[in-house]
This record gives sequence, C-alpha cells and structure tokens, in this order.
Amino acid sequence: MMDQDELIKVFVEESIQHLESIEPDLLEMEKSIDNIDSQIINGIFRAVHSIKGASGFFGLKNIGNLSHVIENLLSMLREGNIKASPEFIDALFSGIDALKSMFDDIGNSENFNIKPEIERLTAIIHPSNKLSNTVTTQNNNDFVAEQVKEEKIITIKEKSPTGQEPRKFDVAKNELDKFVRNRLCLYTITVYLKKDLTEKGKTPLDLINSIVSNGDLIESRLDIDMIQGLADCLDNEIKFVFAFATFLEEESLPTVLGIPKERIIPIDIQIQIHAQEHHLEKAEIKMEPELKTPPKNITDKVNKADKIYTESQLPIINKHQSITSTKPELKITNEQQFIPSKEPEFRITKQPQSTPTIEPELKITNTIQTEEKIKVGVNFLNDLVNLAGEMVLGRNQLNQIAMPLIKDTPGLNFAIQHISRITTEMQEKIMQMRMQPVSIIFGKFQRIVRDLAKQLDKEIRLVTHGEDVELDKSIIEALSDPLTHLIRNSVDHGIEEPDYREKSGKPRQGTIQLKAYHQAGHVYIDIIDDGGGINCKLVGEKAVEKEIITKEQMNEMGDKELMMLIFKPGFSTAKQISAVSGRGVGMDVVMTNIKQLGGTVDINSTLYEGTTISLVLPLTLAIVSGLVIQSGGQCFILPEANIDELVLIDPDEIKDRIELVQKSLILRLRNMLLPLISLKDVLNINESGREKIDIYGSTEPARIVVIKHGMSQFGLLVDAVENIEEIVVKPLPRYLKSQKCFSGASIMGNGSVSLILDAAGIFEKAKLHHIDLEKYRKKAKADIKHKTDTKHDGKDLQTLLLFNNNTPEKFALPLELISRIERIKASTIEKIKDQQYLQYQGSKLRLVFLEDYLPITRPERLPDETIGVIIPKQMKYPMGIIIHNVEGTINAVVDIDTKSIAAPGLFGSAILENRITLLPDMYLLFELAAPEWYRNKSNLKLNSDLKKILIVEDTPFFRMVERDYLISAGYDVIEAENGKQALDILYGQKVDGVILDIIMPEMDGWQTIRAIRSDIRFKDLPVMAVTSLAEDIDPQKGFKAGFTQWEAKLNKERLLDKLYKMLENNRLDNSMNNRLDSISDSDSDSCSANQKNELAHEGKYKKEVA
Amino acid sequence: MSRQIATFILGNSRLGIDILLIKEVYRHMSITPIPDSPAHLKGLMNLRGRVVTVIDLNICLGRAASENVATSRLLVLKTDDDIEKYKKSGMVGNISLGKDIVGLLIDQMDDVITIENSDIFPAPPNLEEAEEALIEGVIKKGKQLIIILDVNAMLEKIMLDACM
Repeated sequence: MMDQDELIKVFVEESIQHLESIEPDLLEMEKSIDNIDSQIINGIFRAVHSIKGASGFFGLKNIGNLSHVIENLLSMLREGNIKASPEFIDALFSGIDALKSMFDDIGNSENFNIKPEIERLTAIIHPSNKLSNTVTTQNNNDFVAEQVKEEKIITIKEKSPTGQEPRKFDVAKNELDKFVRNRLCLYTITVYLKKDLTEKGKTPLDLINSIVSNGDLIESRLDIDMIQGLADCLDNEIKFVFAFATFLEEESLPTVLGIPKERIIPIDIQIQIHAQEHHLEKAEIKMEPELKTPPKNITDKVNKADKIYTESQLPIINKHQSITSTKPELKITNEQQFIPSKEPEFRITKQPQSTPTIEPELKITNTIQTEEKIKVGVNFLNDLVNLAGEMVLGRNQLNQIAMPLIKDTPGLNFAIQHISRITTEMQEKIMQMRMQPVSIIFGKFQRIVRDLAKQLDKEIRLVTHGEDVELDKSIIEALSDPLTHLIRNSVDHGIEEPDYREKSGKPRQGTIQLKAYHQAGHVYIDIIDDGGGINCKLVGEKAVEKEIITKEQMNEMGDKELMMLIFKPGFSTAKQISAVSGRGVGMDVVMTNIKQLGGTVDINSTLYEGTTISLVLPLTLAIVSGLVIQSGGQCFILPEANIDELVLIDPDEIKDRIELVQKSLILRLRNMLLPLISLKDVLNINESGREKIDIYGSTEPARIVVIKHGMSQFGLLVDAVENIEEIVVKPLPRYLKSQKCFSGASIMGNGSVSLILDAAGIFEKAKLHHIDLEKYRKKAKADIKHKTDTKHDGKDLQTLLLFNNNTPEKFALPLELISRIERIKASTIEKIKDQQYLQYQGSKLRLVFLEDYLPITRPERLPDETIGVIIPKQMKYPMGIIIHNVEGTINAVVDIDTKSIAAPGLFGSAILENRITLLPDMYLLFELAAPEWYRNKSNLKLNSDLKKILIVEDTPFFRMVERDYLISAGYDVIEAENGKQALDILYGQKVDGVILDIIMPEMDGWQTIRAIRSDIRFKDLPVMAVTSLAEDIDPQKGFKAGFTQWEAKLNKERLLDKLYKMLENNRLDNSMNNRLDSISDSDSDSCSANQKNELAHEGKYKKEVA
Repeated sequence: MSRQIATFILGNSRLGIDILLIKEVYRHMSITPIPDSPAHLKGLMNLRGRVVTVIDLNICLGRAASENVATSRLLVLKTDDDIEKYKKSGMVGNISLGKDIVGLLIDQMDDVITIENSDIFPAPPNLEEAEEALIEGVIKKGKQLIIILDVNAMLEKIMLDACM
C-alpha cells in the first residue's frame, strides 16, 4: 500500500489541527451558551465532518463512530433541535478529548474505549434512556420525542446491478431531508485504490477533496467484502465505497471525479425514505448491547458491537422489516435476541478475511511519527526575511573588517567562513518558507472550467502540468485572479462550440492546458488552448473602431503587435458580451496585475489552431533584479523587467541624436523616435538649481536607459549606470504613497535605502502624450531619411570589432557576427596533431590561427600569455578565432577594397581610423581550417541557366559580401538597398529568387515580404530572409510571414545551400503546378490540393533518386 | 495613573513623548532623501532591515528646518504591532502608530520623567498654531516647560501633508 503510511500521517496531522481549532470554539460556545454564534457551530461541524469523512477511508472505525455521533449532535444543535447545555458542552469536550487521544496513538485507536464518550453524547440525544426516572414536564417530553424523530437514522440502499447485493449506508433523517429539500442526488461510488487513484497519481485525499467540493460526503468506507484472499491484498486493489449527495447530474460525475461511469450508482432518495420511514434507529442498535454488557468485557464488546453495526446492517434491517412499532423497548429486546445468534457467524465469515488488510496497516501506523508543525504569521516571516537580509549585511561588514586580521589571527578565517555559510543557508531557508506550490490555485480551475463549459454548452477538458512548481506566497495569491480570467477567456473565446469543432476536423472536446515550469530562473505558466486562435485582423479593426489605435498604426503593425492589443484597456473581441467574460475589462487588468508582480505576459496564436498565453513570473516577489542608476548624486533602482536597453551617446553626437521639440526631448534610436525624460527633471533633483538640464552643452556622454512602458518605450536620461543587483523589495511607507515615481524601496548592499523607480509613474509625471509623438514621428521620418542620405552618401554605418594579433596588422570583423570574446591563457589550448582545441562550455572548440591561413606576420606567443578567442554566432561546428587583443569597436562607413590585398579567407581591406585594416572572411577561414567538416559543401551546381537573384540589403558591406558569394556560385545578382527599391525591381524584371534582410530603414523585411506576397504574381517567388538575429526571432514567424527560407548572414556555405534548395523546390513545384493545371481545368480546390501533394511527394522522391 | 515620559531637546525647547511609544534612539544615520517630497519628509533610513521614514519634527512644529542632521539623533517610534499589548492592558490610550516605522529627528535626548496625568496642563496660549495642534499639554518642571507631543495628531498631520 504505497501511500498509505504517508496518507495516514497527513490525515493525523490535519485532524489534530482540526481538533485543536475546535477547542477554543467550544470554549466560546460555553461562554455564550444561550446565544451561540452559528458560525462557531458550523466551524466545529466542518472540522468533525472532515475527520469522519477521512476516517472511513483508513478503516478507523472508532474514530469514525465517535466523530459521527459528535457530528450528529452538532447538526441537531445547528438546526435548533436541541439546546446547548453545560452537560452538552462537557460531553462534546470529552468526545473531542477522546478523539485526540486516539489520534495521538493512531495505531491503537481501534482498541480505545470510546464507550463512555458515546454514551455521554447519546444521552444528550436520548435523555429518556438515562433520565427516564427524572420528572419531566409535558413540554419536555414533546421536545424529546421530536428529537428522537429528528435523529432517526435511515439506511439507504443503492440500486444495484443485477446479481449484486445492494450496499447500504446510514444517513441521519434530518440530513436526508435536507438533501431532498435541496434537490440533491445521492450516489454510491466504488473506487479502486490502485486503478483509480495511485495509477493516476492521485491520493485518496484528493478524491475526498473533490467529492467534498462537489457535494456532501455521507459515508466512506473500506469495502472489505471484495477481498477474497491474500492475493487481492497484494494486488493492492483496495476498494473504497463512498455515498455522497451532490447537485451534479449522473453524466457529469465520471469526468468530475475521474471514476468510470459504471461504478457510480444513483440512489433514489424518495423511495428510500418512504420504504424506511418506520425503521429503527441506528444509535439504539449500537447502544443497547453496550448497555447490557457486563463492565469487565466492555472494550471487547464495544468492538464487536461496532463491527455488527457496520457490517451486519443488512441482516438487522431484514430482521426488523416486520416491526412496525417505533417504541425503543420493543426494539431493544429484539436486538438482544438477534445479536448472540448473528455475531458468531460474522466473526467466522468476515473477520478473518478483513484482518490481512486492516491489521497490517494499523501496525505500521503504530510507528508513524508525524512531523510537528507550527503556524507562523506572515508578518513574522517577513520580519525574519528582513533580519536575514540584515544578517547578510552584517556578515559583509564583518568580512571587510576582519580581512586584514585573518593572517595574524588563527581560526578567524574559519570562523568567518562558517558564519558566512550559515548566513547564506539561513537566508535561503527563510526564503523557502514563503514558497508554495501552484497546485493551490490550479486546483480550483477544474471546477471553473467544468461549470463554465456547461453554461456555454461546450465540451472542455482542463489538463494541468507542474502543480508542484513553487512560487512565493504573495505571487501565488496575486496570480489567482489573472489566471482565472485567462482560463475563463480561453473557455469563452478560445474553445469553439462542439459542433463547429467537429466540422473543422477537431475533436469535439476542446483541451485547455495549464502548465507551470521553471526556465532560466523564472517560472512560466502557460495557458494553452486548441481553440479558434486569435484573428489578428479582427483585433486590429476592433482596436481602430474603439479608437485605441489609428488605421495607419494598424497597417504598420505586425501580427504580434496586433495580438498584444487585446491587453489594451477597453478592448474586448467577443462579438457579444457574455456573462462569462468580456465587459471590456479584463485582459488589461491581467496585464497590469502580472506586471505588478514583476512578470510579463506573452501571447502566441495561430488562427484555427489555438492560442498560448505565457506568464513569466519571478520566483519570489520579494527579490527582483534591478539596475542601479545614479541621478543627482543619488542612487535609484530600476526593475530589470522594465529595461529594454542601455544607450550611451557621445557628447559630439548628442545634437544629432537628441532633439528638442516643443520643450520635450526626443531620442533618435535606430529608426525609432522615443520620448526622452530626464530623471533629474522629473524628480526635481537638479543640484545646480537650473530649470532644465542643458543636454547640448554637456561634455559628458548622455546615458540613457530605454524603458518599456506598456506598449510604448521611452528613454530615461540618467547620470550614471552602475550595476545590476538582486534586491529585496520593500513596500513604500504610507507616508510616501503619494509619490507616484516610486514603487518601493530597497536596502542596498552597503546598508543604505534606495528608492525603486516606477516606470509608469515617471511616464505619467512627465506627461508624455503618446499620440502627439506619433504625429511627430511621421513628420520626422522623412527628415531622418534626408539626413542619413546626405550624411553618409547613402551608405549605412557598420559596427566593426577592431583587434590585433600581436603583430602590426590590424583586423576588423563585423560585430554582428560575434557571439562573444573569451579571454584565455595560452597554456589552456590543447593540441591534437595539427589541430588546436579549447574546452569551452562543455564542448571542444576548434581554434583557428589567422597566421596559418592569411598572408600576415606570424606572432610570438608565450605559454602563459592571455589571449582572446572570438566566438562567432551560429556555427554548425564549434570554432573560434585566436586574437591577441581587442582594440575596440568602431562605427564607420566601410569602403571595402577587395583588390589591393586579396587572399583566400579575406574579404578585403579598408581604411579604418586611418589605418589599413584587414577584414577576414570568418566562414571561409573555417572552411580552410576544417575542410573535413565542409567537404560535402555546395558542389550543388546549378542545373539550368544563370539564375537571377535579388539581394535586398541596406548595409553595403553585407551587400557586397553576399554578392560575392552568389557570383562565385554562378548566380546573376541584382542589388537593392531597401524594400521599396526591391519592389520597383521586382515589378520591372523577372527575378528567380530574393534574399531579403530583415532590419532595414524605410521598409523593413517584414513589410517587404508582406508587400511581395500580397501581389499575386509573386505569391510563389522564393524569398529567403537573412538576418544576424536568427537566434532572436522565431523562424516559424518568418515562415508564417511568407518567407521560403531563413538563414543567418554571412554563413556562405549554408546560405548557398539553402538558396539552392529553395530554388530547386520552387522549380519542382512550378513544374508540378503546370502539370496540375493541365490535369484539372475546372478543379475543385480540395481535389487539386491533394493531387498536388501527391505530385509533390513524387517530385521529392525523384530528386532524392537523382 | 503615573506615566513615564521620555524628554528630549529640540532647538530651544524640551519636549516629551510617552516612553511606551518609543522603540529606540538611534545615531549614525544614513538617510536617503526622497526626491520631490514635502519638506517634513526628510528621507528613508535602514533600521536593521526595516525602512524607517525620517521626519523633520521642526517642520512639523512650524519651525525652521533642522540644520545639523549629522549630529542629530533619531527618536524611533514603535508601530501598532509593538504597542498592541499596551493597548490591551490600557497602558496607552487609543493611539494609532500605523504599520510603518517613523523616526523623528531630535537634537538630543534628556531625562525620563515620571508624571501623573494630573500634572499635564493645557498648552499655554503663546504657542504657535501649528505647534498647538500637535500638543497634548505641558508639564511644569521647575522653571522649565516640557511640551508633551500628541503622537496621534502628529502622525495624522504627517500623513495629511504627505498627500498634498
């Protein structure tokens, strides 16, 4: 029984907690005995009820019985059928105490004598038993009679499948009446421990929870009748039987509980009540034998009596079928006759079989040690977090002071390290205390989805993954609302009607997945549905209609940007506003909430296929990563999540890059224009007292932090950018609540307090009008064009990395191609025959020495020298170029001279910073250095005529390089500097393929491809995107936009390879289309598509053969 | 009922606050100013991992701003959590200190004196208006007057001013 021990432990812990919570409530009841707060009774009732519910599960009959009696009493008290008296409270106390003692020694609980407690408690329900001699008034008698009637226990029978004995359950009459009143249905459910629970990764407690959340659990018990021998026990197929009342209909139960339909059997309450109206009361059956038993045998008898009560219900009822009188006396006599005869029989037939299952369990539980737990307030925990943080500070100070003393003080170093380690560990543990699993919120969504789907007549399944992923308590709490909204949204807008789904070839039942997982120090929560997806066009139109954006803006937006519009305030795509979601509030609130947690929201959607919304959350709210900046001599923190990039502008460039328009600054960043806010201005911390800082007169470079704020960006001008620190966020004191520019405070490593800047607040305070800026942006665009044109003679700036090889020669490589530069000791290079390797990030990096392939001076290298390795981006094989020193980077218009100095592995030379600089061809160098890796390189010769390729590329350097590649491979090349030019060329002449850069001024790659594809003539034109950003942009997005291929810049071998394949496929497709056209003149779409597919397969096959 | 009043010097006057409301007296302050905030909010300070709002008591009392912050002491008040037990036992009246720690800039601490409530006299009429509103009363100690601050009123005023 795999989990049984664990489960009992949990059960015991929970129950003890419950019992402890009952005690103060009972005391409270006693205090206000005449006017008891029904809340208190309900509280106790619930606690006892859940103990009862679970005890049946573990076969803990004593606990079950006692809690059942207590529960009944409480329920009568709640209904007002009995009045609380001091005796009543005392009896409850003694009952609760007895339960507690049983839980303290759970293994022996079955041997515990609960008789006195039960007696005492039932005496309150049936004063007649004990108080029959006391003088009672007429009124009192009536009262008692009524009680007896109300407490009547009714045994209900399930409608059993043929051939099976119907099982019986006991329900208090008043409970049953309540079910009938509330129109609840009764069911019995059979659950197999292994098949239904453990194999599905559930615990019985999960099931009980889902039952309790969907209705009232009447009784649960271990069904031992089924177990026929030891084999069954070993099989672990323990069967539980539940009776429960719920408002759910029969057909929805299997899905809600995850139990096959055939094992859920309904009970007709009306018939049951009617048939049993005159039957006897369970309490009396149970009580009587006990009362008659001689005291010395009490414990033994109680046990026997209990067993009879639970197991021999059927014979008792049968026995009394004929009895019509409800008089207690009569029944008692009958009972007595019945028991001696029945009991031995049961002992023999049932007991021995049940022993193997129950006894071993309980023996094991004898040794179960429950972990003691204490509840601690969150405030207390927060104080601990603070103190731990302080301790870290103290340790750091201690370290500094002690450092010079370590040498002369033996043992000091050890002690400091010890303290250091403990401090770190303690801080970690304390942070851990705040972590909670996401299952806490995931749990409730099953119900929400079920209810909503029903309401909307949809069929939806919710699948959750990663429930054990933990997040900070405060994040968990704050996540509940946004997640609920997103899930509701998926149900309402995402998943389509079942009929519609069926028509579009999807399963009738939609699936929503809720996934939590860790990635890169963050927790991701994905809400994935396989519904209709988001129609970006509709979203855009709607946004225009609601005046969230202008039509022009819409046309310029990509799909992703359009999609993100659903997070704008006042947006709702639902055609009709339903009660479920969509009143125009919602998604923007989700966005705001997640942002407040320091998280982000991302959305991906494919029309007709589904939508994925990803929430990226920090692990803890308390600690965020922030950039420390300085302004006006004071440090501030900007949450890293808000920061897009850092920009540094040299003093002499300031007047070109920053403009003053109507008293506000505008930053020119690449082809964007961003509002620029001076932090000093916005916070009024001009130490010099000037009205506005004079940015143009500055001799210092301008340091700008580009900040994301909702959909827009702005630049924040600061004095200095320091470092990134993990900071503990503390809320602002109430006295600072009106300070809109700050969102919190934090204590820095040096012990001082720093304020955390709030991007939204700063933006608002600077009163920037986004729309106004839009207008300006348009005007300025033409202006920019003009400027760049005149300034650089139509050529664009190129960023190059300058380096040397410890020789007089200077080298340069485009910075775009470089992933990083590592500094290594020359001695770490390992030599294998002629090849040199470096261990780098777990792989072997092949090293290339420039002097081995280029006509340059050979440098001297010392073994202990530190040298540099340039590691390029996107390499099929790990390779690096050895250099000596990086001299810097340069922004320049590169005029490459390919003639004066020519060699294999060299693009050519250029004059940079007044020096002749060599530009190595990195990829060719690699080919030269490792020919074995590139052996099967493009020997793909063009099989037909010269193909005409259009290269669209704004950077002259890349344009030239690409042209060289293509010409060397035998292509005819036409060049265009931007999308507009490219389109002009396309309209003018026939082109076989296009190589298109993504990032260009004027009309970028995305816009160009859209324009190309929108023209029917070019719908099949092969277009390859080339980018240095391949790793940052999802190629899928590129394919969706209409690109045929996707490749990195300057990877000659792959570029040619892909280009060849692209053209070749296109040729095959075309010939296929021609054949198809001749096959079907008046074709139906689907038919031709099929044929086309087949033919395409055929074509591919042919190609492979060839 | 007798009370203990912690007295301190601020400018030319001697003031007092019920000792039960005082958490501690602090020196060596490193105060982070709050940009663009009301003058009485002197800044924020780290007190063993908790953020303390430092208040210039002089400005609250309508006097000129404190000048020599470097030599000042910080009278750190307790929070609601700290005084809960006193409230329950009736040792302090109905006082609300809030959840955030407040520190008052003072020049120097003085004696702790034990007084009876009956020793407190209403504020003399020659006080400034701003000052008068924040004062519970005065005690005559020989020739000297000790001004007992009304902490409740003072914190309310700080809140109010901060929101302007």
